[in-house]
Amino acid sequence: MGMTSFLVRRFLTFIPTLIGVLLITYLIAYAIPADPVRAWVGEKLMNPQTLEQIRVKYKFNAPWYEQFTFLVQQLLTGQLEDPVRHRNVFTEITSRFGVTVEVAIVGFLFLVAIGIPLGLLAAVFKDTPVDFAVRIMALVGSSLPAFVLYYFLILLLFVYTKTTYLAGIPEPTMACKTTISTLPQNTPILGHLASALGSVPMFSAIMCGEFNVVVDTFKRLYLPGLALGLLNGGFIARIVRNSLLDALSAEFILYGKARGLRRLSVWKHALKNAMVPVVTVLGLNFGGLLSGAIIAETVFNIPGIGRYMYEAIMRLNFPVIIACTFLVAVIYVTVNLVVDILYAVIDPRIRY
Amino acid sequence: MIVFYMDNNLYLPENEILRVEDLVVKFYTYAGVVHAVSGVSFYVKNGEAIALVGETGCGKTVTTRAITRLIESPGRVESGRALFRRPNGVVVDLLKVDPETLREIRGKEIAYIFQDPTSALDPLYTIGFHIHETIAEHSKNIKKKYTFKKAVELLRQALIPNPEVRVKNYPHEMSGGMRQRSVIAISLSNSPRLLIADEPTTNLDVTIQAQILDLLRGLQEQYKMGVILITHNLGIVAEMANRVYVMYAGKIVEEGTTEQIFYNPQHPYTKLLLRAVPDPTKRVEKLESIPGVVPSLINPPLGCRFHPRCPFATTKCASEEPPMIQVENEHRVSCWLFEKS
Repeated sequence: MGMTSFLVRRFLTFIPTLIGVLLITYLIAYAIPADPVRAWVGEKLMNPQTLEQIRVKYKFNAPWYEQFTFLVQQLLTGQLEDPVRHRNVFTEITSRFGVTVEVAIVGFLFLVAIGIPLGLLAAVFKDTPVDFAVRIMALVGSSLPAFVLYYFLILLLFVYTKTTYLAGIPEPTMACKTTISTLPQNTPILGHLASALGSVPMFSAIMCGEFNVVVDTFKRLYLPGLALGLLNGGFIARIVRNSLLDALSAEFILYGKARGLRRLSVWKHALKNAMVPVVTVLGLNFGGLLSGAIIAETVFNIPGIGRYMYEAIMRLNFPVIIACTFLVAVIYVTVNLVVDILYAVIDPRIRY
Repeated sequence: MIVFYMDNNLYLPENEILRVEDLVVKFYTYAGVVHAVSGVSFYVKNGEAIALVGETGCGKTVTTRAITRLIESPGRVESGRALFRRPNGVVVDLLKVDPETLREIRGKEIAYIFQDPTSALDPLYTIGFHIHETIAEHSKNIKKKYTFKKAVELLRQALIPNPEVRVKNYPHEMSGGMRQRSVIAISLSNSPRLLIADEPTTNLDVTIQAQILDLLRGLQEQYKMGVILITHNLGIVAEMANRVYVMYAGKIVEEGTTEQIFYNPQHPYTKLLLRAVPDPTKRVEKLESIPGVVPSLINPPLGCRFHPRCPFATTKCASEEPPMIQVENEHRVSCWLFEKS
């Protein structure tokens, strides 16, 4: 059982998972008792002819499974169109997803920077006010409605102190964008990779050496990042605390001391053993951030995938819903796969 | 001021490597204070093996762990001394010595074989790494290549087949007996002066048990290593130990040479304990047991802790603690029956 066979098996399990996710999403959307076509077209262009045209195009007169297979086929061949914007769904998603990736990265940095040190502190100062404060933070973070925290932070950091702004997303110069979009023509594989990465504005700025854009991005996104980090940081801290305490109370830690290990080495054993559950939760959180924080993107005015999904749902935009769900599902299975691979790196008992 | 003087009087007879005096360990639990070890004293001569025997929960493990301050919260070493002669001849009180010195002593001069090898080994590291670490943390500029070779050597010494392969194994890739032997190999990494072996053969087949005991005895002679053996297997005691301490409910009730304890036991508890060992050559209808149960150490019985189960108990036993009474040379017993009138 090598790594290769494990990866092959895992990729095979992706197929039924993704089909299942698409099917369920579609059926839920289909069950909504409303006419999506009317929602797509809008007041101005509303006339029977146009409506009928669209109905025929998306097979709304055919049974549901034909509609579904049509959508999936369009999705997999990359031809799916956003019926509201009349543009390819993937073009729309790519630009928005790049922004969401930026938010996810900044949010994840805050999450790690808040959760892990607090968890370590809570473990070291177990059953002291520090531990208690972290416990409260986790409780508040998971029970407080997200938007309350968001608006409070906006009030504090935008309205009063004006340390950030809430409009637009910093982008690299036009010249930079052009350079990166032409890369695939010169170097086929690497170029495609670079241009795919370049759909995240921050990454293309880095590739062009425009580091002021990176700085601006952090200035613009630190507020949502901090908000997301605060919201889940307490929970991460609790996981870190508990798994570290578990590891510290293990007999092998005492045996390490009995073998005369230095304090640092004893901690190395404890920390490594505490990592498996932490990696799981961090992975899932990163997956969650990549799927777009719908409320955060709406409140902080970020044109990301979460907002796109929200708008699509509001207008019964099935093609976009299906495409976004597909993307989210792919992100989750990939993140889970990465987490599983990390397990094996950390723990020799896990082999594939 | 007298106390001050006593504390600094680190006198240890020339032929002894460790002397523990009046060790008291308590655990402050929610249920109450557990008097796990209440005034235990013993000594180990150079190159000698002593055995601590007694039922589960009588404080054997806690006693030996307290010596190098391995008792963790909620436990605490309340009082006592543990005088230890370091290889450079300096005598230290292990209960008072500074943490860095204590760390140097642990694993290098005093090594432990922990009871449960499965939980004593870090599952994320190989056996070889455990040995490497144990050596490297006690010396400067040690090369991994050297410790690796040394690890193979130690594993071979601990009767592990294919040591070159096994050294790269993780704990989960080995059987229980193999892990037990690995822990023995780890404990011998730095050729300690004193080895504390907590049930070193519990997880092993009887045939392997004999081999491991032979191995420990051989190493003991080779390195002139003192050994504290914790066991409830009296067969192993007879095989390994020069002297025996019988523990009951956190106290030592009888001490003597192995012959004295086996052929001339004095304390009622020791006698009953020895009777409970079945003789494989005789067919018995019913195995002997000691009536009653081990007392709770939260509220230990007043007087002699064994009196509720003792067939010879008198009213005095229930109210006054018996002192250690000398019955023969090196043979002492804590029981009112031997009070000289």
